[in-house]
Amino acid sequence: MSAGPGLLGSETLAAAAGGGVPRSLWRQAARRFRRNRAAMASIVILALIALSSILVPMFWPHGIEDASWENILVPPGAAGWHWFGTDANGRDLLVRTFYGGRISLTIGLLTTVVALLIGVTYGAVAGFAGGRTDGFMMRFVDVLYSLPLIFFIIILVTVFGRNIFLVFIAIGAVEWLTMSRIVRGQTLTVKAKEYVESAVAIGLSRSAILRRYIIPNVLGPVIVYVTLLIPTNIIVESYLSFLGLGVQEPLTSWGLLISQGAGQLDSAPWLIFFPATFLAVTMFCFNFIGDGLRDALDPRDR
Amino acid sequence: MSSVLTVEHLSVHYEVPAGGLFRRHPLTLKAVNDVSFELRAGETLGIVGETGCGKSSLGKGVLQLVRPAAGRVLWEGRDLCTLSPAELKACRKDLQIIFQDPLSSLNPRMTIGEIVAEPLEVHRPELGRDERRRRVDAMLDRVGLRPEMQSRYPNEFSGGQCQRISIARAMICEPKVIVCDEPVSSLDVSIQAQICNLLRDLQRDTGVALLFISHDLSIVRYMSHRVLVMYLGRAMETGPRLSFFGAPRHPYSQALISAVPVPDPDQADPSRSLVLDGELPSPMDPPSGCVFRTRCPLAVPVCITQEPALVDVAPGHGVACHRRQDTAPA
Repeated sequence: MSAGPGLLGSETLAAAAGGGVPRSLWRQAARRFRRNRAAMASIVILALIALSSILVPMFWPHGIEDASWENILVPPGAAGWHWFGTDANGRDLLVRTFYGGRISLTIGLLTTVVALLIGVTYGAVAGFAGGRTDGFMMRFVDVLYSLPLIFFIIILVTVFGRNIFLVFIAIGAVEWLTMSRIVRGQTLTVKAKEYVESAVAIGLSRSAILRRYIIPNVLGPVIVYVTLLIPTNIIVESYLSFLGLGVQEPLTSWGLLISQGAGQLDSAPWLIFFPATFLAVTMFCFNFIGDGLRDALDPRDR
Repeated sequence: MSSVLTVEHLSVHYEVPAGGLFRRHPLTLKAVNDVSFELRAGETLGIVGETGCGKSSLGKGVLQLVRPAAGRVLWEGRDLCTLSPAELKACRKDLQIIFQDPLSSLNPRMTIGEIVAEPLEVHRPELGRDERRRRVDAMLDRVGLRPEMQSRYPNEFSGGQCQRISIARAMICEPKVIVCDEPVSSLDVSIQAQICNLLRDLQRDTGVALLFISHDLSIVRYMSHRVLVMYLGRAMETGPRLSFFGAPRHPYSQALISAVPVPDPDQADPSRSLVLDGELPSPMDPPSGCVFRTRCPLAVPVCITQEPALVDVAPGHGVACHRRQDTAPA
């Protein structure tokens, strides 16, 4: 198909430069994102970390619970396949670090999905409904906001006992609040646009307007926030585990490993070095991806 | 010609949220106050006025995009203001709107084909996909866009092309009335002419009635059969195009028309130029009596106490002015 100028010579045709492929806003954003080197490198590194977290514990000669009295606190080295050394129980740190990565990444992703689903629906409904409904819904969010996360989790743990699913629920239940505020604010902006009025004018139902007009147009900032929420949730899980409220032995996570390593900082610094490095690198990667997405989705903001 | 849409004593009010926690009663902004007119089949009624005079609110009130505070909008024997949302939805097939900003009135996440086909999906669900596609093709061709552009997105088009897409979306269900809310104000002059001609051609072919809202008198003169002048939410003068532009009777209309630039400045008649003093009063606190009196060169005491009614000075030509006798052409 040729992409020549429009029928009317006096109008310049923006599409002429784009070749034959329609350029949706998403497609243009994807192209800008691919040009961002830091973000692309971060994706590769993250993929490597995620892949090794899945594969390494399956094939490594040591299991996460294999304690050995002969190999207590072995420093990092090639001897006996203890590349990252061992802990005070003689367990291999490398396999525990990658296994901890599984737990940390899973918690980061799942809690974010929970926060995303609740937050987007709640915020979009509140913003679109407006008026008194909006007022009540957002005051409810304000009330929940005022509860400190730690307080909330201590209550949950005392009532239901220690459980990894409780960690999902607790983090997800708190982190959707900010998401709903972001989505509500965006919805208010989008709602005032003329295309929403034109949808009302053609007689589209409210739910169709929400689905076709509001939600696709608020997703940009939401996606950016998601990439920042995943690392936040990983950190939250880490400090919960650090405080002994999160993941429990024999399972492990980066936060738990760091907490255990912190106690032996003088005698066995590698115990904190490796999990902390992985955690930090993961944080950086997510943040670079978030920055890249922000620039790609809204080029005017730079 | 019979009237397709009759608007009687329409008022559109906005509640301005009360500032502060303790002010109980919100202020009311009377954007449109007691405006009546009728729109006939195949006709264009131009609505003119300054920014903030309530032109757009009038258009939105007619289409019930803003629920009017008072008055009636009679459409096929029924009052739109009293219809339930479901009944109103059925009427929307015949009552459409085109907005000022062409790009922001198109959903950036939908393709042109989806945008133009959407009214058909809502109002003519019985049509198959092929038939819908065929009609979209024909409509795009009619407004001067190539049907291959269907799979493209609004951001790939210029302002004039976006306005053509809006027109295609408004026209696809063959409506009886289209409210054109400043449809060409944000376009280049040459493109304004193209869009105006397109609207006129479509009106000639389909007999659609247009409510053409604009602040540009030259365009209104070109487009309209009849004209309605608004000031601070009230109708000041209404009349057929020739009678109105030939002999405007309201001091405000006279000032507006004299402010239109003349192509050749040497031809301009300085004795006819009439420049208004002062600012537009706040619509939250309009003047008593005639709302125009604070800027009117002819104001007399009665203008402060009494609001003038719209009185016919010629067939179909009404003026709301106490001094209408003194404004007749010499």
